[in-house]
Amino acid sequence: MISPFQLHRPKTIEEACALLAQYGEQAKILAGGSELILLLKMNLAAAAHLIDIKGVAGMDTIRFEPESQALKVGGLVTHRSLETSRVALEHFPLLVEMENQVANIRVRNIGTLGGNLCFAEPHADPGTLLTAFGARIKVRSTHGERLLDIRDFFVDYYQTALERDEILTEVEIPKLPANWSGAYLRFCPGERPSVAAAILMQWADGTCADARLTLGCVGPKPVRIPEVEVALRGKAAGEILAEGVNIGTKMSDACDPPADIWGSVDYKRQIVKTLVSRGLQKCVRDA
Amino acid sequence: MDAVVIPIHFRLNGENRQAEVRTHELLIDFIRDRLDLTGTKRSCDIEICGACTVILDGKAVSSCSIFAYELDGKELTTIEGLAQGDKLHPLQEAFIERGGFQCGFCTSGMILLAKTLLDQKPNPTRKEIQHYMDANICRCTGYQMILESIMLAAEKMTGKPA
Amino acid sequence: MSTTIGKHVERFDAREKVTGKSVYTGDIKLPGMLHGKVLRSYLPHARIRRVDVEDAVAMPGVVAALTRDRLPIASPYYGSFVKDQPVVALDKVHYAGEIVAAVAAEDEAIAEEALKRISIEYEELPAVITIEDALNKDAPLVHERLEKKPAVFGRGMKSIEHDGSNIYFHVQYERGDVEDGFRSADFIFEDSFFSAANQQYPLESQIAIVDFNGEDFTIWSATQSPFRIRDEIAGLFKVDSKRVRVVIPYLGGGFGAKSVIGAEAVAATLSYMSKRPVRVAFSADEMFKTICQPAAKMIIKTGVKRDGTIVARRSEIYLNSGAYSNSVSSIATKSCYRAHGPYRIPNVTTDAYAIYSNTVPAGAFRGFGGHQTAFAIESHTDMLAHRLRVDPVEFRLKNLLEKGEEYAAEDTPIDCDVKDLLRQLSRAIGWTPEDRKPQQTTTKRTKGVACVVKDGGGTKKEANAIVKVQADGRIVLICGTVEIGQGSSTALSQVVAEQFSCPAEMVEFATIDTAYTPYDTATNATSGVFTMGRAVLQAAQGARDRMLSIAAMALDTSELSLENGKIVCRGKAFNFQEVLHGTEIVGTGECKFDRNEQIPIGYPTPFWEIGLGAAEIEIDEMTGDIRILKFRSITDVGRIINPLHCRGQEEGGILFGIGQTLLEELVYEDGRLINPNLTDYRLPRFRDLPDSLVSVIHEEEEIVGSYQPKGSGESGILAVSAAVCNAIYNCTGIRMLDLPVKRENVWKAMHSIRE
Repeated sequence: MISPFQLHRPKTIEEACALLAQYGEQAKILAGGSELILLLKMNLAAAAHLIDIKGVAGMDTIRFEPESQALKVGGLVTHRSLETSRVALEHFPLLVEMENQVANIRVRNIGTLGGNLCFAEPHADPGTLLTAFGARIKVRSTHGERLLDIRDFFVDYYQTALERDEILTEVEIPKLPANWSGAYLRFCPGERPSVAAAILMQWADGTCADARLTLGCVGPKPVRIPEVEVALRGKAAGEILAEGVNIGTKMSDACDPPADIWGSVDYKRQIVKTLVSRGLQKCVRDA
Repeated sequence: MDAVVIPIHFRLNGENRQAEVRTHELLIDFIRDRLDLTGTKRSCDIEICGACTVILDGKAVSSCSIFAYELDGKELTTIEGLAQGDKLHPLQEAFIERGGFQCGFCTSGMILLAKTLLDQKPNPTRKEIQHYMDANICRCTGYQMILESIMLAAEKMTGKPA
Repeated sequence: MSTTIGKHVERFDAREKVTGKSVYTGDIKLPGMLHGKVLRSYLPHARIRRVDVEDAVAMPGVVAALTRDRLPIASPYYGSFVKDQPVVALDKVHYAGEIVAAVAAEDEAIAEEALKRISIEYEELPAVITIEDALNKDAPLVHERLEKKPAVFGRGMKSIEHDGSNIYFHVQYERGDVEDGFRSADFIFEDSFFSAANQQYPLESQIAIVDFNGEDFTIWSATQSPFRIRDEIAGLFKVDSKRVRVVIPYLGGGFGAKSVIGAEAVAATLSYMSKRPVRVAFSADEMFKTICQPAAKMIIKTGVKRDGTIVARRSEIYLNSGAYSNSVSSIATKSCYRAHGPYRIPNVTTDAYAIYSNTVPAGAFRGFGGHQTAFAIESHTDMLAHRLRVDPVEFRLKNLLEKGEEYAAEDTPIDCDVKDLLRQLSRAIGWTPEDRKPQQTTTKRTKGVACVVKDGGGTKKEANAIVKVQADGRIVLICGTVEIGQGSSTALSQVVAEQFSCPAEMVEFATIDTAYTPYDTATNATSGVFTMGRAVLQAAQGARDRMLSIAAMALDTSELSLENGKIVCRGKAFNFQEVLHGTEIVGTGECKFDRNEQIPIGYPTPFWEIGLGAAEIEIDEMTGDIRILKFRSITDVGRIINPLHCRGQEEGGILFGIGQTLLEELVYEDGRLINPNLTDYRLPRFRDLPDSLVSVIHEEEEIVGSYQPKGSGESGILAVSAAVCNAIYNCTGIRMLDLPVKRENVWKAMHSIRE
C-alpha cells in the first residue's frame, strides 16, 4: 500500500522546478503515474512529497515548427495524444505507428512521453525510435534550461542524465526530409518488448545516402551501431536487400542482449538479426 | 506522516459529486470502498488485466493505478453508470445476447473499454476491435464471443451491420 | 418439443453481471470486519528457528496475529488425501511462498505495515525443485511420512507404497499382459513428454470472509467446493460440521484454483482468535504462490503391429505435486486411467506418481491432468503413424474405440461415435496427404489433428437437489453447483423449467448455503449438468408430479397438462398457486454412483468427454514464432441445454489450450517462482485468438423428450497442444516434446536441422 505523501500541484514550470529544488531527495515527479504508482504500490520507491506536474501550463502540446523542421512534443503529452495526433501523423507517421503499440490503451491514455523517457525502462518503445530520429531532450531546473542529445540522455538501466533538480519539459524530433524511409519493429512475447529495432534510411537515386539503425531492449539503453550505419552508405537498394541478414548479424554481434525469461543471448541475437533484416526490407520497399 | 486530505468535485455517472480524498488514496479503492460501487474489480493490480477499467473524461484508464484526487474537475463513468434505470446500454444487451461474459469478473472493465472504442469508432472492423480490446484479459470466454458482442453492439448503436 | 432445453435462455446472472451488480466475496462488507494479511516464506525449504511478532502485535489496530506459537488449533492440518498442509508453517517451510504468519487488523494498511514488523529466523535446508531432483536417490525428503486416506480401487488398479521417498502416491493400472504384448509387436516405440506447471489465473484471486461468533463459523468464500471447505474447517477446529456454515457469492472464475482451501483456513483462525469477522484476500501474486497445475512428465512406450494395430502400451506419469498433496493423488489416478487413450489396446500397464517437491503446491486445473496426458498421447499417436508411414487420421481410425465399445473392463462404454467425428473434422479442414509434408519455405503453414477422450463427470461424485414449488407459485431450485461462470445456475434451472413446461425465468436458483443446501461433492470435473443435472431432473419431476396430483384433486380431474407455466384443464389455465391453495411442494433428487469392484477406478465413469481439434498454423522460421491461424474443435455434449453456454465453455477451453501450448509456464530460479505476475506470466489475450475459431457442438443423443446432456467444461483444452505440435511436425519434421512450445526451441530445432 502507498504511504501518505504531501501533494504539490504546481501551475507553472518555474513553480515545479522550485518545488523539486526545495524537496530534493524526498520528492518524486508525478506525470501520468503509470510507472511511478506501480513502484509506490510495490514499495520499490517512496516519496514524502509528490510533485504532480500535470497542471503545468504549456507542456502538453504537439506542434510542428516549420523554421526548425522539428516536431516539438511537450513532456506531458500522452502516448494516446501522440498516437492520434494529425500533426504527428503528417510529419512523423513512424512515430504514430510506434506509439500505437506502446503497452495498452489504458496505459497510453495516461502515460506521458516525458514520463516514459525519464523512467528509462530498457524495455520501452519510444526511446529506441527517438534515438534513431536523433531527438533532443529539453530539461529545465531553477538554474535554467539544457538541451541534451537523446544519446546522452539515457545513461543506464532506469537512469538518465537528469540532474536531481531537473524536469523534462519537451522532446524535439527533427524531421527527416522526403527521401527517407523507416521501420520500427518490435518482438514482444510478453508484456513489454523484448527486442526492438528502429531503422531510418535516406535514399539518393536508389542508393543509401544515410542510415540510422537503433536497437532497443537489448541493453541498459538504446544502441546505435555507427560502423554498420557507415557501411550502408553508398550501397544500392538491391545490395542492401541481399545483405539484409548479414547486416542483421553485424548488429546482433555488436550488441550484448541479456538472457532472461524471454530468451537466451543467442536467441535474442537471432531476433535482432531478424528485425534488422526485415526492417531493411521494409525501408527498401518504401523507398 | 498523517494522511493529507483534498476536497474534490467531480461528475459521477452523470451526477455532480464532491468528496474528500486522501492524497495517496487510489481511485479503485475510492470507487469500491467510499462510493460503494463494487462493480469495478481488482485483479492483477499492475495495470495489465484491465478488470479495474473505468472511463475518466472519456478515456479508459486503470483505476488500480490512478490516484483518487485526479477525479477533481473530471467526469467518471463506472459500470453502474451505463444503464439508464432499467434500460440497458446496447453493449450490455449485446454481451447478454452473444455470451460476452461468463464469470463476470472482467466484464465491467471489458464493457467500459468497449464503450470507449465505440465512442471513437462506431463501426470498427473485427480486427480493429481485436487490436483495441487486446488491452483487457478474459480467462473464461476465449475472446471470440466478446468480439461478437461488441460487433452486435455496434450494429445496434449505428443501425449498420458489422 | 422442448420448451427451454436447447434454447438460448438469458442467463440468470446476466443483468447483474453486465451492470456490475453481481456480488462477489470481495464486495461484501461486514460491520467490524478486520483485514487479514499473510506473511510468506521466501525460502523454498527451511527450518523455522524463531518467529517474532511482538512489534507487530504492539501496533495500534492490530487485533490478532497467527504464528506457529500463537495457534489456537491442536491439529492444524488440512488436505483432501493427506492432511499434510498446516494453516501456518510449523517446524519447517516447504516452499517459497508458504504462509508463515498472518495478522488481522482494522484496515489493510495497518495489516501490511504489521507484516513488515514480523521477524523470522530461518535455517536453510537443501531443496528439491524438479521431478528429477525429487526422485534423486539422495534427495532430501520434503515431508516425513504422513497419514493418508486409504486409496481403494477396483480390479486392475492398485496403489503401491514407497517408503523413504518423495513419492507419496503411486497408482498402477494393468490389463492383459504388457510384456506379452510387446513380444507380439513388430515395432516398439518409446517417447517422453513434459508439460510445465501453469497457473489457473481466475481473474478473482482466492478470498474468504469468516465470522466466528464464539460458537459458529460463517464463511463467505469464493470456493468451488462449499462442503469440502465446511468439513475441512470443522475438522481443523474439531467441531460438528453444523457449526460451520459456508455461503457462496458469485465466483470470478475457478478453473480448479478454488477447489480446496485457499484463504479460508487463515481467515477462520484469525476470526477464531479475534472473535470478529476477518477478510483474507490473496493478491494475484499470492494466488501464484498458493496453487498451480502440476508439472507432468509422461513416458509412453507402445508396441504396434506392421499393419498399424496397437497391441501394448506401457506408460509412466510423474506429477510434481509441489509442497503439499492437495488433490494431486486424484490427478495421478485419473491420468493413470487416461494413459491408454480412446484406443483399442489389449495390454496396458500404467504407473502414475505424485511426488513432493519444494515448490508451489499443485492441484486441480481445468482438465485435471487430462490435457497433459492428451498432449503426450496424441503427439505419440502421430509419431507412431509417421513411423509406420501411415496417415495419422487413418491410423487413429484404425485403432479408435467404437461407440458402445468398452474403454476398460465393466466401465461405461464409449458413448459417442468418435470415429465419425474425426472423419467430419478432417473433411471440414480439408485434411490431405500434403498436410504431412515438410515445407522448405521460410514461413511454413500446415495442419495437425488430435482426438481426445477423457472420463467426464468425476468419480463417485454425489449430487443432491431440492426443487420446491412454493405456495405463491414460485419454483426454487436448491443445489450446490457453484456458479463459477459456466452458467450452471441457468442451465440447471432450464432442466427444472423443462419439467414444468414453463419459461426458465419462473425458476429461481437459491444461494448456496451449506446450512440448507443439500450436499454436493464439489463443482469440478465437468459434472454440473450431468451429475447434478440428474439430481435436479429427479427433484423437478418429483415436484411436478406431486403438484399435478394435488391439482388433479383440486380440479377433480386427471386430464391436466402443463403449458407455458400454467396448469391447463378443460381449456382453462391456472397459475400454480391457484391450485396449491397454500401448500408447498418439495421434490428431492439425487445422483449417486454405486461402487463396482470390477471397474478399475471402482466407480463407473459417468460419461466420456470428447475433445477433437485441428489446428492450422504458420511458423516463422527466423524467430520460431508460431501463429495458430485456424482452430476447429468438435465436442459431444449429448444434448445441448444452452447453446451459448456450450460454445462459451468450449472456446474458453480452447484459449486455455493455447495458453498451455504456446504461452504459459511457471519459472523457478533458486527455488522460487520468478514470474508470479502477469508481466512475466503470459496469459492468452485477444491477440492470441486464431483468425478462425470454430467450435462445433455435436449432440450425439437427440432423443426427443429425453435428457442426455454430458458436459464440455474441459473438452476445449484437450486437443490443442497435440494438434499444434502435430502440425509443427508435419511441416518441419521437428517434434516438440515439451510444453509450452517455446519459440526459441522451435528456432533452435529448425536451425540445427538446416545446418
